[in-house]
Amino acid sequence: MSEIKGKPFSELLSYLLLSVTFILVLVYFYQVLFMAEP
Amino acid sequence: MNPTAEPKKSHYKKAFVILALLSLVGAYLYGFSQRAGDVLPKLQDSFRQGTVIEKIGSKPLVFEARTRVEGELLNYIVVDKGHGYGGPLHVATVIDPSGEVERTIVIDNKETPSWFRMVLENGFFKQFAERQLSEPFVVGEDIDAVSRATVSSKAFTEAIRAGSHSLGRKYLGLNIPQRETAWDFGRNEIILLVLYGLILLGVLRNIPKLRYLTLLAGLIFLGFYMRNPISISHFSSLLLGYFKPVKEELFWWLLVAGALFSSFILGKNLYCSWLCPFGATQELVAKLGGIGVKLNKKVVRYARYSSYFLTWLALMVIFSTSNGPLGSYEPFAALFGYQGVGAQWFILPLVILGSFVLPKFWCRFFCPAGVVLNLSVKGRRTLLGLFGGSKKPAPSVVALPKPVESDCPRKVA
Repeated sequence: MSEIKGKPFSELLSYLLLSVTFILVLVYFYQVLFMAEP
Repeated sequence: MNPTAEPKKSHYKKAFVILALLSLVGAYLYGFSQRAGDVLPKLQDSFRQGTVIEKIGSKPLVFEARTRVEGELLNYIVVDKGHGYGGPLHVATVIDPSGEVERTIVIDNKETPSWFRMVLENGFFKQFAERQLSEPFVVGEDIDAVSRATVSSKAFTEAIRAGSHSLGRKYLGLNIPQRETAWDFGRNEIILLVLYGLILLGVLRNIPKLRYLTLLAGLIFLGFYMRNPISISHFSSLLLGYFKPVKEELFWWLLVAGALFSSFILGKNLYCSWLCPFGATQELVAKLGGIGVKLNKKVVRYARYSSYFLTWLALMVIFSTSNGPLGSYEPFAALFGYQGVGAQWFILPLVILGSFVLPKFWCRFFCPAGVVLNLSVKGRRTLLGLFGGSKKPAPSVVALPKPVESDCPRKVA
């Protein structure tokens, strides 16, 4: 399996997906609370 | 390891929990104080300048609109309530003195914004104009629901019917028969009960393969057909005191009661692992070619805290706005109803992609409904412990390859 800095690519992809999804949930809250037309 | 480190950690954890609960109570009280809004300013905005609107009755809530100068009666306005998807909604029905509906004004609602927009854009409310008060105003009889927004359509119709008929009887002397509410028990309710029965059978008789059947049925029936999987807004409705009428919303009650029953009474979160359509979607994606990455245990622990944090955040939003759907960040409606709000349209593909990489990506790290159900299981154990119940873990009645705790998808390694 390919690696980046000793970590498998799939593991890094997991971290990326978790982080981005978390941020998007925060974005969702921002949109429904502060934007008239989310 | 430092022997004082563990108790200190436990103190911090308790402090966090207490702080979180206090903040939720604060948000709830704030939201409650904002709830009762005066209807009159909203009505005044809908009428021409020079119109005087005066309240003439409380039950039903009725106003008269008269010209300022001559005092000529222009309209009766009746405001009544319906039970919407997200909570109670109020609609004002504007009626001319001869008893014909002129128009309707939505005073407030707690429907998911995309669903409410759909109802408006489909011209739902135009159906009521130029109708006589004595007409039935029943979805399926003389009113057409907006496709995929049946619950909202029925709720708005309920508010208009209740108000119009009350006003017609009390103020215009019309003979409008009271409508008997029948139990809404039909095919959908039977299917749901059969599914719950199969789940109980699978758990009590140790038939783990039955899980695949109930998950598939959940995906098709609860997901794509009913478009009504359990979300945080179901539980928040109860916490906000928005109790739907049991007769007309029997399916809703059966669904929520079944999930809570398994958590509180059986001590297992069976909804998540045996019925949830979104969970089923993730398992299907993983089976179709998932990589199934195993993360570092420490990372998994901290990543799981994100679901607690997001659940807390969702409840803060829900309580402070008294609006369940607003805090419901799950992208279920985007998948099953093709109705998403804002970032949900981006969250959904990420969750699907994430399911290829990590088993039960959403369930383990993001799902607020799962957090509520799992906390119910934990709460049950705590209560049993407090009242001297058995300290042994519940016997494993399902011979899964993993420990019984993994009934809960959050415990999948």
